[in-house]
Amino acid sequence: MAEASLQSIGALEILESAMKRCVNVAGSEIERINSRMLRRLESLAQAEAYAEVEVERGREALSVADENDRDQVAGHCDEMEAQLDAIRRQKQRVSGLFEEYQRQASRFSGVVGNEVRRGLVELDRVLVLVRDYHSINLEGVPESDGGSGWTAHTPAAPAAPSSSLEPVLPSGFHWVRLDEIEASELDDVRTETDFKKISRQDMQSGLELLKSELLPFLSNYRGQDIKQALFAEDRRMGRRPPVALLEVYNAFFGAQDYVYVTRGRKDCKFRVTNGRHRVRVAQELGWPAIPAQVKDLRSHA
Amino acid sequence: MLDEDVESLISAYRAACMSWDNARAQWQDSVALEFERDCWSVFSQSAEAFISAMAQLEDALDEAESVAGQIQG
Repeated sequence: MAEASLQSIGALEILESAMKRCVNVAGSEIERINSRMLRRLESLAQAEAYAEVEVERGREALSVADENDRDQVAGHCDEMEAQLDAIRRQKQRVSGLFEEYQRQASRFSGVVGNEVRRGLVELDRVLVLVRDYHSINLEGVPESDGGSGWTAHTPAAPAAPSSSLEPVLPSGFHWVRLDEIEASELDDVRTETDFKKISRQDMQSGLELLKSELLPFLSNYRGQDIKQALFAEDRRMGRRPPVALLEVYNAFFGAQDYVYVTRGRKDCKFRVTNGRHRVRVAQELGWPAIPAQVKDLRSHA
Repeated sequence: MLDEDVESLISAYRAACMSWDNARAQWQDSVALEFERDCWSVFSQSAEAFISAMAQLEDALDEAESVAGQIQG
């Protein structure tokens, strides 16, 4: 998901739209096609019935024909019977193909109603993730240094931002790219039971709140008591722990529980000293980076 | 010449095929593979089978109606 590009958003949106159109068209047109096929079959049955009547008439005529006309009438009878045979063969062939058509129509309708609808839900989920990924402004996120060490980094200060979309971090905190964190650090955070203090779902909601509400709030806040302000905002919005601004602020920027990563002198990637669960959830949400405090001992170029 | 309902259905399906080809070229993670396996492949297979069955039935009906036409004059 981290490799999703802006171009793929457009392609996926077009795909979603095209498949939705298929669902709508299939719903209306299959019904019409079925009706039309049935009408045609009915016409064929009427033609067969007509031919049967003609054959019967011919036989009656033959039974009363005199010597002079018998051959001619018999010839006409034979012709009618041949035509009746022909139409019966056609009807039998059509009946077989109609059964197969109904089977395929039923299967197709079923697939449109089940697999395609589920696929569209999945596609929508992917689009939400990709759009969210691109909405995270990476201003201030250090670029991957390719092994040469961090570039000189000034801690982000909550100064006046140029845009409320910039994710300004409190002093001492940095954006740490998830692809620079050692993957094995998260090995013991996999299943729901690994989330003991707070559920995975609540943690996901907390991270969403961090991105959508807390960071913009911090960017615009100029007061002296951030915790009081967050508490008041939570009360105003009816938010309750654990998914509330104050709780999320304490979890990420509080004095004790923030995400803390370290990198030794010879290490390529960061180890997670604190915050594995938050890092795991950020990864699952497709985030490119996470706020953290950093101890980096790797030598600079 | 195709009936309007058939044409509409085939046109929508072909448009979806083109958009899938384009999206697939750019969407290449594990989620794309699952989507292809669980949704797109099943959808396209059933669509192709349905269109094929429909075409064969239409051809057979055309032929049968031609024979019926000769009988009824």
